[in-house]
Amino acid sequence: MKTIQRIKNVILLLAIITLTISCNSDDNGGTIIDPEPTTISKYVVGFQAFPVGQASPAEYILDLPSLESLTTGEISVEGQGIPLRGWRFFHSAGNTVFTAGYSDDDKCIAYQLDENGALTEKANFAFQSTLDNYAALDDDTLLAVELTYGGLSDKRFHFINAKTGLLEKIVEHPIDIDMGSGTVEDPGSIPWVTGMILRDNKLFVSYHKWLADGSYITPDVDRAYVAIFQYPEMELEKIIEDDRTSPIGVNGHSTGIEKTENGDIYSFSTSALSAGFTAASKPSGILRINNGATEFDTNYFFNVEEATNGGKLFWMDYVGNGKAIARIIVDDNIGAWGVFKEQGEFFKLVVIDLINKEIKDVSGIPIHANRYTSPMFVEDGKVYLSARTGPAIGNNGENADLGETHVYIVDTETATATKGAKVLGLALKGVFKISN
Amino acid sequence: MVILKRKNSVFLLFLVTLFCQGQGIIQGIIVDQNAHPISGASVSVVELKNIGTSSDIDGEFKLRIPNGSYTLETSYIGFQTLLYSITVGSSAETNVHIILKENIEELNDVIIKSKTVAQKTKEKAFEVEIIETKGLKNSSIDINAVLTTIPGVNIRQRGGLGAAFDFSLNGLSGKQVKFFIDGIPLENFGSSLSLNNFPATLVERAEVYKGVVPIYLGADALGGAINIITNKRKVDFLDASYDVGSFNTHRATINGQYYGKKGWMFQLSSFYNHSDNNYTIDDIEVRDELGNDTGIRRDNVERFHDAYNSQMVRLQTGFVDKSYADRLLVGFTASANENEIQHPIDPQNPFGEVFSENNIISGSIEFEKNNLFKEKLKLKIYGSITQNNERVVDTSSRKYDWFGNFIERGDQTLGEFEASKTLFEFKDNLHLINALATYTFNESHSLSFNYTKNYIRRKGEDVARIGRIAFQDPHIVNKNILGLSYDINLLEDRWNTSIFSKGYVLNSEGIVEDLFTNIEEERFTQFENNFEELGYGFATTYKVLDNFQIKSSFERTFRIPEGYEVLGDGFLLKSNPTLLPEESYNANLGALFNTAINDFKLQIDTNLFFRASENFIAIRSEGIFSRFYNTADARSTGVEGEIKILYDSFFLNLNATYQNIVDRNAGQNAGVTFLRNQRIANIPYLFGNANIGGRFENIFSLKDQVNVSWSTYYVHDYPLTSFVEGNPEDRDIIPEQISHNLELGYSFKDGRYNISALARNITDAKIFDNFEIQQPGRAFYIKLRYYISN
Repeated sequence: MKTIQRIKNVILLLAIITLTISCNSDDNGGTIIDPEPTTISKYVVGFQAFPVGQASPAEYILDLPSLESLTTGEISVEGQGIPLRGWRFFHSAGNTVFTAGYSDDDKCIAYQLDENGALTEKANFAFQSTLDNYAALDDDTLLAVELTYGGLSDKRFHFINAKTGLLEKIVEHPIDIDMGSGTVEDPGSIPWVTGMILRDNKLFVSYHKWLADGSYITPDVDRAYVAIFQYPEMELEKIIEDDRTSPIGVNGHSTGIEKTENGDIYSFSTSALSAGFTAASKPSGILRINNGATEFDTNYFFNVEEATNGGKLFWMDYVGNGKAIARIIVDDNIGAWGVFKEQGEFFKLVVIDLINKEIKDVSGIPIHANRYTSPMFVEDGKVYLSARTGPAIGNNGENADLGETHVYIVDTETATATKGAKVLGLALKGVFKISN
Repeated sequence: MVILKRKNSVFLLFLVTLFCQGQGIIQGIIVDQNAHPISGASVSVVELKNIGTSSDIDGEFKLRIPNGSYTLETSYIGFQTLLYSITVGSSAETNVHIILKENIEELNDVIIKSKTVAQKTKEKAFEVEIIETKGLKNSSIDINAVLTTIPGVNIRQRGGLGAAFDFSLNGLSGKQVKFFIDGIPLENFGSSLSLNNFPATLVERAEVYKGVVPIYLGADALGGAINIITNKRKVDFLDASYDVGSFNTHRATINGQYYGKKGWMFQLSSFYNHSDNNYTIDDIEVRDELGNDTGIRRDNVERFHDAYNSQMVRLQTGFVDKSYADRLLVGFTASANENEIQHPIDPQNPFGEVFSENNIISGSIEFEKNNLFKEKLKLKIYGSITQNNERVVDTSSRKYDWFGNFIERGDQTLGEFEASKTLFEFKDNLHLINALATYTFNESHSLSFNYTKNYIRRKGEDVARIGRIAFQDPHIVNKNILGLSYDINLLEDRWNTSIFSKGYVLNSEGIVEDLFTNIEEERFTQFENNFEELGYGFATTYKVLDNFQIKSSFERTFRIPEGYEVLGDGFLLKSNPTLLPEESYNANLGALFNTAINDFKLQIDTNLFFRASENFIAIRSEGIFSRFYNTADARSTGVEGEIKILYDSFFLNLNATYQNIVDRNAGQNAGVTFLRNQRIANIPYLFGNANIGGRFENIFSLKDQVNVSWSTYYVHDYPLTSFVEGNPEDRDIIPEQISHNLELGYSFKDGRYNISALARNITDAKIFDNFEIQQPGRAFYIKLRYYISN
């Protein structure tokens, strides 16, 4: 029904466009000109609206016509955008934006621009539990892995065709499961993937661990580890580890490890008790796996926690030219998972020079909140990200009205941010650019 | 409690017409002391055996009898029997106006005990709807389906018999509306007693209080209350029914009571319900083995894991009409249910094995004494002890599709419904005390005091898990609700007013373990929370004309957070010790008009309602955790109306409700108007129903009765997510619902044998009460009932 309606709309839109074009042409005397077959590009955002009533905040996928929509004015879903179900992840590969539901919805929907530039559902598939980590391996493949907080089952890697939007195969692999002895004292542990990078024919997978008893306790926090698979065979080559920092990555983020232009891989470890870890003994820091190497670079470690302008990292994403953008937790003593709220003074934004190990605070963006983050959107060297400012929402809903969400445009060279469009919702959960 | 309005007059008695010559017609109206019509009162002619009738919805009756002088005997339960002398002439109709006086003592047995005239009148000032189930006792319909016909009420079912439902009253819903059985909070009866399984046969009457609730219903009802009144008639009877229908539905009831010579009485109520609920649904997605959507949709897919059964038995015995007590009864109730869960609120993925079960054992004692202090003081005390076990059995890691196929998921710790397999069970120990005292100064003034204490201790167990579970450390919630009301009845009963105040004192305590702290001293925290709130209100009615009455009521009311909302569940649901009660200002303004022109009778009833509510409590996620927060300030304004027409043996009822429910702080401070005062989505806002039919007596034999009725339900479409956000073309909509039911009934031997047939959703329409949850299609039920009384 909806598709039919959409087709009708598209036809109507086409008719109007055609009519408009024909009317505007001065000398064609009403003859219809075929529009040039041009490529249409659009910006697509995952939009988390304000909650209304007792319902949880609704989420939408919304296309914006130009970059200006992100830099000025307001972004809202009033009368536009496609409503989605429940809390969602947003990721992209090639010209497809994927959005997968979390607890309320178990579908991963692929959106593309159709030949007329309209954002359209291309395909969808249902998964078994939740897809918790994602990586665009190339323009044709999105890799998503199904994870659990308990149990000893293999992790399920989903290989999704970004052209068709369809799931093509599932590979199950334990990665690094400790089966334990099945007792209360020794329940075993399971990996939680926090980043996946394909370099040459190797897939690097960073992870941290949960006790397998579903207690949400993170064991083995004295080391960082990365599993290296042969790709596409998905055979485990080895697991590398490093005891200078803690496990890599943070729940809900897919950028625990990232690759630079020259093939170096950088990772970040949080060691933060407010970011989902139940213990920390090592500083928050950054490790490197050099291009061509399959071991951590023993000569490189950036102790972010001790560095000037540093602290515990919550999130980091590589931008370019050896520079990454990151959120550093202002106060780690606000309780377990404390920074995963929609609003509160949790993070400062910094630019990290990975090569020279320098951190600069980004000016122009206040202390803010932003719980889960899709991979960063970068255009012309500038980063576009959403951040919500305002004090933490009290238990009786106080301060909710003091929050504001904006797009901030960050120049990593100068470490300055400019406030862009105001978001008339809680957050933009992802910003993407796709073409038809 | 006098009946203000009568619904479903299809079930009410109509007039007897005898075809004889040389006869006269007596017609008349039977009213109470406040000139309110009494329907269902029996009228018989002392001198003539087998001639008699009952008053209709407007208290009117008509009899044809041979010319002569007679004595009319008029009686109705709760009123003194009246003898009335008349003379019937050949040419003209004889009109009589009969006023019945309340029989206080008998009345006490009839309804909520200890009603003085003033108190009884007070009830009428409340915005209350009364459902008489007299005729419904023969029907296959359940109470929910009856309550749906009340203006302002919307019930959203999630499936067939026994399925979860959302009851909304003037826009407030969920825990904001409280349910009672005979004045006892339904939450004390667990899930095995519910509005959608409680058979109409056991119900005498249902009262729906809109927004403003009298003090004797002791609960923190933010949006109103529904009180189901079971059989209170003081006669010996046996009532047995069996009902069979589509989807392998079987329902049986046995109900009876016996009054011995020495004041000893015994009462039994019981029911058994079963349904497979295996109706078919449409538009089911077909997926390939990886889960990709093939684009194929299949219709007529059977629901395969939705069976429900429940049973209850309730015994009461004791003494009545003794010097030490008017009623002193002990009671025992046992009930249980088992409910297969076909899918969560979002039906896209079905379950194949998960189910919940509940069992309850309860003992009660009831004492009532009405004539203390020179018949000025009435006292009623009820106490009960209950154990309630509620269990979820979710021990399968399989993932089912709608065609009954499944795959074994790799992770064998997963449950279907829950994140991990569970045999989670919580055991509630409940104690309830309800005490009501009424002191009557004189006919016009009385004072009442009500105290309700509800104590709940909840503890969780889960033999399927070795780790931490919810409610591992018990929670205690101790609710105390006090009510005081003063009732005045002035201007020759034209003006009735009740003013009241309620005190809410709630204490909850528990031990919460913080698994995520590394500091041992912080690991266990003793939580204790106290809420004290004072509510108040009034209800008043003034009879402008004999057939025109205006009513107004107001209440400042609260819903105190439940224990788990404040304390969390000791696991992933975190505590919020500063959570505030939901609070509301509720107001009603209504008018009631009725008129009669010969055989044509008209009753019009309308009500404007306003609910300004704050601090709605809703759950929000925080990473892996969730927590209850105070969220929306909502405002519900609306109008509801009802028109009832009677013509001879035929009737037509129409009602409609329009409500506008907005979130006053939606959009936070976004500074734009379109978000502000935004209408709350996923709530029906325009709905109504129509009911047409007739009731014909003495058709095939003397004292038999044929009933026919056709009812139509309508709900306007409404969006799932938002009224303003999202492209209108892409919004998810719960589509317009129109469904029709047809019912035929036949009773003979003066109501001893009854048979009825019901066709629900007769056009087999696709109906959705919740987004994408399809309701049953066409279904048929046949009910047989045997009733004998002395």
